Amino acid sequence: MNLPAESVSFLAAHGRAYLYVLAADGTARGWPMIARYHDGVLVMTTYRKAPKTPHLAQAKRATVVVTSDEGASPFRYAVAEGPLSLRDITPDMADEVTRSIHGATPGGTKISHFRARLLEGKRALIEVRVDSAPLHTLEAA
Amino acid sequence: MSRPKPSVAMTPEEIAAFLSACANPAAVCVPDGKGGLVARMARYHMTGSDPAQDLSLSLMGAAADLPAGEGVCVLVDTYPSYAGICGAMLHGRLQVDGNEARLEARRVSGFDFTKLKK
Repeated sequence: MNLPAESVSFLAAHGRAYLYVLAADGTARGWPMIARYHDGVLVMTTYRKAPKTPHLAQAKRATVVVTSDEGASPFRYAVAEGPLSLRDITPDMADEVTRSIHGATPGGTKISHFRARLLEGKRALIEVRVDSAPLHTLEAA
Repeated sequence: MSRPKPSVAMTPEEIAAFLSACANPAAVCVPDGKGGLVARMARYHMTGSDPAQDLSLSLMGAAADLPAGEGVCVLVDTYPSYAGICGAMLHGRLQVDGNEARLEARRVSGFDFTKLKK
Protein backbone atom coordinates (compact mmCIF):
# COMPACT_ATOMS: atom_id res chain seq x y z
CA MET A 1 0.00 0.00 0.00
CA ASN A 2 1.44 3.35 -1.04
CA LEU A 3 0.78 5.97 1.60
CA PRO A 4 1.07 9.68 0.86
CA ALA A 5 4.64 10.88 1.43
CA GLU A 6 3.40 13.38 4.00
CA SER A 7 1.81 10.59 6.07
CA VAL A 8 4.94 8.43 5.84
CA SER A 9 7.13 11.34 6.97
CA PHE A 10 4.82 12.08 9.88
CA LEU A 11 4.63 8.44 11.03
CA ALA A 12 8.40 8.08 10.78
CA ALA A 13 9.01 11.21 12.83
CA HIS A 14 6.58 10.62 15.71
CA GLY A 15 6.17 7.90 18.31
CA ARG A 16 3.38 8.90 20.68
CA ALA A 17 0.42 6.74 19.80
CA TYR A 18 -2.93 5.35 20.88
CA LEU A 19 -3.63 1.77 19.83
CA TYR A 20 -7.31 0.87 19.41
CA VAL A 21 -9.05 -2.38 18.52
CA LEU A 22 -12.66 -3.48 18.34
CA ALA A 23 -13.15 -5.90 21.24
CA ALA A 24 -15.18 -9.08 21.04
CA ASP A 25 -18.06 -7.35 22.83
CA GLY A 26 -18.23 -4.68 20.12
CA THR A 27 -16.68 -1.89 22.18
CA ALA A 28 -13.55 0.11 21.40
CA ARG A 29 -10.54 -0.64 23.59
CA GLY A 30 -7.44 1.49 23.55
CA TRP A 31 -4.09 2.07 25.18
CA PRO A 32 -1.40 4.74 25.00
CA MET A 33 1.68 3.30 23.32
CA ILE A 34 5.04 4.17 21.88
CA ALA A 35 5.06 3.12 18.23
CA ARG A 36 7.77 3.15 15.61
CA TYR A 37 7.07 3.18 11.88
CA HIS A 38 9.36 0.84 10.00
CA ASP A 39 8.94 -0.42 6.41
CA GLY A 40 5.20 0.26 6.27
CA VAL A 41 4.53 -1.22 9.71
CA LEU A 42 3.84 0.39 13.06
CA VAL A 43 5.80 -1.63 15.61
CA MET A 44 5.00 -1.73 19.33
CA THR A 45 5.74 -4.05 22.24
CA THR A 46 3.85 -5.03 25.37
CA TYR A 47 4.05 -7.55 28.18
CA ARG A 48 2.60 -10.90 27.14
CA LYS A 49 0.48 -10.92 30.31
CA ALA A 50 -0.73 -7.33 29.94
CA PRO A 51 -4.52 -6.84 30.16
CA LYS A 52 -4.54 -5.60 26.57
CA THR A 53 -3.09 -8.82 25.16
CA PRO A 54 -6.32 -10.89 24.97
CA HIS A 55 -8.03 -8.04 23.13
CA LEU A 56 -5.16 -7.75 20.68
CA ALA A 57 -5.07 -11.50 20.15
CA GLN A 58 -8.68 -11.63 18.98
CA ALA A 59 -8.54 -8.50 16.80
CA LYS A 60 -7.86 -8.75 13.09
CA ARG A 61 -7.29 -5.03 12.54
CA ALA A 62 -6.21 -2.03 14.56
CA THR A 63 -6.43 1.74 14.45
CA VAL A 64 -3.37 3.61 15.67
CA VAL A 65 -3.55 7.35 16.28
CA VAL A 66 -0.01 8.72 16.02
CA THR A 67 0.33 12.26 17.31
CA SER A 68 2.63 15.25 17.44
CA ASP A 69 4.72 15.66 20.55
CA GLU A 70 2.95 17.02 23.61
CA GLY A 71 2.34 20.73 23.39
CA ALA A 72 3.20 20.97 19.68
CA SER A 73 1.47 23.71 17.75
CA PRO A 74 -0.04 23.03 15.35
CA PHE A 75 -0.91 19.65 16.83
CA ARG A 76 -1.18 17.07 14.07
CA TYR A 77 -2.07 13.40 14.09
CA ALA A 78 -2.37 10.48 11.72
CA VAL A 79 -5.11 7.86 12.00
CA ALA A 80 -3.36 4.73 10.78
CA GLU A 81 -5.35 1.58 10.09
CA GLY A 82 -4.43 -1.91 9.02
CA PRO A 83 -4.12 -5.60 9.81
CA LEU A 84 -2.82 -6.41 13.28
CA SER A 85 -0.48 -9.19 14.26
CA LEU A 86 0.63 -10.22 17.74
CA ARG A 87 3.41 -12.69 18.44
CA ASP A 88 5.72 -13.53 21.27
CA ILE A 89 9.21 -12.06 21.12
CA THR A 90 11.69 -14.90 21.29
CA PRO A 91 15.32 -14.27 22.27
CA ASP A 92 16.48 -14.66 18.65
CA MET A 93 14.20 -11.74 17.69
CA ALA A 94 15.60 -9.35 20.30
CA ASP A 95 18.12 -7.59 18.06
CA GLU A 96 15.70 -7.23 15.14
CA VAL A 97 12.94 -5.83 17.37
CA THR A 98 15.36 -3.49 19.12
CA ARG A 99 16.44 -2.11 15.74
CA SER A 100 12.80 -1.69 14.68
CA ILE A 101 11.91 0.22 17.83
CA HIS A 102 15.10 2.24 18.32
CA GLY A 103 16.28 2.45 14.73
CA ALA A 104 19.80 1.59 15.76
CA THR A 105 22.13 -1.30 16.23
CA PRO A 106 21.80 -2.60 19.79
CA GLY A 107 24.19 -0.82 22.12
CA GLY A 108 24.13 1.95 24.67
CA THR A 109 22.55 1.88 28.10
CA LYS A 110 18.95 2.62 27.12
CA ILE A 111 18.91 0.19 24.19
CA SER A 112 20.71 -2.49 26.21
CA HIS A 113 18.03 -2.23 28.89
CA PHE A 114 15.28 -2.52 26.28
CA ARG A 115 16.99 -5.49 24.63
CA ALA A 116 17.50 -7.17 28.01
CA ARG A 117 13.77 -6.95 28.69
CA LEU A 118 13.10 -8.62 25.33
CA LEU A 119 15.55 -11.39 26.15
CA GLU A 120 13.54 -12.19 29.31
CA GLY A 121 10.90 -13.66 26.99
CA LYS A 122 8.05 -11.80 28.67
CA ARG A 123 7.16 -9.43 25.86
CA ALA A 124 5.07 -9.60 22.72
CA LEU A 125 5.45 -7.82 19.40
CA ILE A 126 2.52 -5.84 18.02
CA GLU A 127 2.65 -4.98 14.34
CA VAL A 128 0.10 -3.00 12.36
CA ARG A 129 0.67 -2.99 8.60
CA VAL A 130 -0.60 0.44 7.63
CA ASP A 131 -3.22 0.51 4.85
CA SER A 132 -4.16 4.15 5.30
CA ALA A 133 -3.04 7.02 7.48
CA PRO A 134 -4.83 10.29 6.79
CA LEU A 135 -3.31 13.29 8.55
CA HIS A 136 -5.38 15.74 10.57
CA THR A 137 -4.69 18.95 12.43
CA LEU A 138 -6.33 19.55 15.79
CA GLU A 139 -8.32 22.75 15.93
CA ALA A 140 -6.59 25.50 17.94
CA ALA A 141 -7.90 25.89 21.49
CA MET B 1 9.32 -12.80 50.87
CA SER B 2 8.90 -10.27 48.08
CA ARG B 3 7.26 -6.94 48.69
CA PRO B 4 3.87 -6.39 47.03
CA LYS B 5 4.11 -4.63 43.68
CA PRO B 6 3.17 -0.97 44.11
CA SER B 7 -0.03 0.04 42.35
CA VAL B 8 -0.05 2.81 39.77
CA ALA B 9 -3.85 3.04 39.86
CA MET B 10 -5.35 6.45 40.52
CA THR B 11 -8.23 7.08 42.89
CA PRO B 12 -11.39 8.69 41.46
CA GLU B 13 -10.32 11.98 43.03
CA GLU B 14 -6.89 11.74 41.44
CA ILE B 15 -8.44 11.00 38.04
CA ALA B 16 -10.69 14.04 38.35
CA ALA B 17 -7.76 16.24 39.30
CA PHE B 18 -5.65 14.87 36.46
CA LEU B 19 -8.35 15.44 33.85
CA SER B 20 -8.98 18.96 35.10
CA ALA B 21 -5.29 19.86 34.94
CA CYS B 22 -4.12 18.07 31.78
CA ALA B 23 -3.86 20.31 28.73
CA ASN B 24 -3.37 17.50 26.23
CA PRO B 25 -6.20 16.60 23.87
CA ALA B 26 -8.15 13.37 24.28
CA ALA B 27 -7.93 10.40 21.95
CA VAL B 28 -11.49 9.32 21.22
CA CYS B 29 -12.52 6.11 19.47
CA VAL B 30 -16.07 5.06 18.57
CA PRO B 31 -17.22 1.81 16.89
CA ASP B 32 -18.79 2.71 13.55
CA GLY B 33 -21.39 -0.07 13.68
CA LYS B 34 -19.94 -1.72 10.57
CA GLY B 35 -17.03 -3.52 12.20
CA GLY B 36 -14.71 -0.55 12.07
CA LEU B 37 -13.59 2.26 14.34
CA VAL B 38 -13.60 6.04 14.06
CA ALA B 39 -10.72 7.59 16.00
CA ARG B 40 -9.94 11.27 16.37
CA MET B 41 -8.15 13.65 18.72
CA ALA B 42 -10.41 16.17 20.41
CA ARG B 43 -10.03 18.94 22.94
CA TYR B 44 -12.00 18.43 26.11
CA HIS B 45 -12.93 20.19 29.28
CA MET B 46 -14.42 19.14 32.58
CA THR B 47 -17.78 20.67 33.48
CA GLY B 48 -17.63 19.33 37.04
CA SER B 49 -15.64 17.00 39.24
CA ASP B 50 -17.10 13.64 38.16
CA PRO B 51 -15.12 12.11 35.27
CA ALA B 52 -17.97 9.66 34.60
CA GLN B 53 -20.43 12.46 33.83
CA ASP B 54 -18.55 15.71 33.35
CA LEU B 55 -16.21 15.23 30.40
CA SER B 56 -17.21 17.39 27.45
CA LEU B 57 -15.53 17.10 24.05
CA SER B 58 -15.21 19.70 21.33
CA LEU B 59 -16.04 18.14 17.96
CA MET B 60 -14.37 20.73 15.75
CA GLY B 61 -12.50 19.94 12.56
CA ALA B 62 -11.88 16.25 11.91
CA ALA B 63 -13.40 15.39 15.31
CA ALA B 64 -16.78 16.25 13.78
CA ASP B 65 -16.60 12.78 12.20
CA LEU B 66 -17.07 11.15 15.62
CA PRO B 67 -20.53 9.60 15.78
CA ALA B 68 -22.70 9.29 18.85
CA GLY B 69 -22.82 5.79 20.19
CA GLU B 70 -21.97 3.10 22.67
CA GLY B 71 -18.66 1.38 23.25
CA VAL B 72 -16.58 4.54 23.20
CA CYS B 73 -13.03 4.61 24.56
CA VAL B 74 -11.46 7.93 25.56
CA LEU B 75 -7.80 8.21 26.55
CA VAL B 76 -6.06 11.23 28.05
CA ASP B 77 -2.43 10.95 29.03
CA THR B 78 0.81 12.76 29.54
CA TYR B 79 4.25 11.32 28.86
CA PRO B 80 7.01 13.65 30.08
CA SER B 81 9.15 10.53 30.62
CA TYR B 82 8.49 6.84 31.20
CA ALA B 83 8.59 7.37 34.96
CA GLY B 84 6.22 10.32 34.64
CA ILE B 85 3.44 8.69 32.64
CA CYS B 86 -0.06 9.54 33.86
CA GLY B 87 -3.33 8.87 32.13
CA ALA B 88 -7.03 8.20 32.31
CA MET B 89 -9.15 5.69 30.39
CA LEU B 90 -12.88 6.14 30.12
CA HIS B 91 -15.38 3.76 28.50
CA GLY B 92 -19.02 4.51 27.87
CA ARG B 93 -21.47 6.27 25.59
CA LEU B 94 -20.96 9.42 23.55
CA GLN B 95 -23.83 11.86 23.28
CA VAL B 96 -23.39 14.37 20.46
CA ASP B 97 -25.05 17.76 20.35
CA GLY B 98 -23.81 19.84 17.42
CA ASN B 99 -20.09 20.41 17.78
CA GLU B 100 -20.03 19.31 21.41
CA ALA B 101 -20.22 15.84 22.88
CA ARG B 102 -20.62 14.54 26.40
CA LEU B 103 -19.27 11.23 27.58
CA GLU B 104 -21.39 9.07 29.86
CA ALA B 105 -18.67 6.83 31.22
CA ARG B 106 -19.52 3.48 32.79
CA ARG B 107 -15.93 2.64 33.55
CA VAL B 108 -13.18 5.07 34.52
CA SER B 109 -9.62 4.19 35.46
CA GLY B 110 -6.34 6.00 35.76
CA PHE B 111 -2.64 5.23 36.01
CA ASP B 112 0.19 7.27 37.52
CA PHE B 113 3.69 5.88 37.11
CA THR B 114 5.10 8.50 39.48
CA LYS B 115 3.59 6.38 42.27
CA LEU B 116 6.31 3.82 41.63
CA LYS B 117 8.88 6.26 42.98
CA LYS B 118 6.97 7.10 46.14
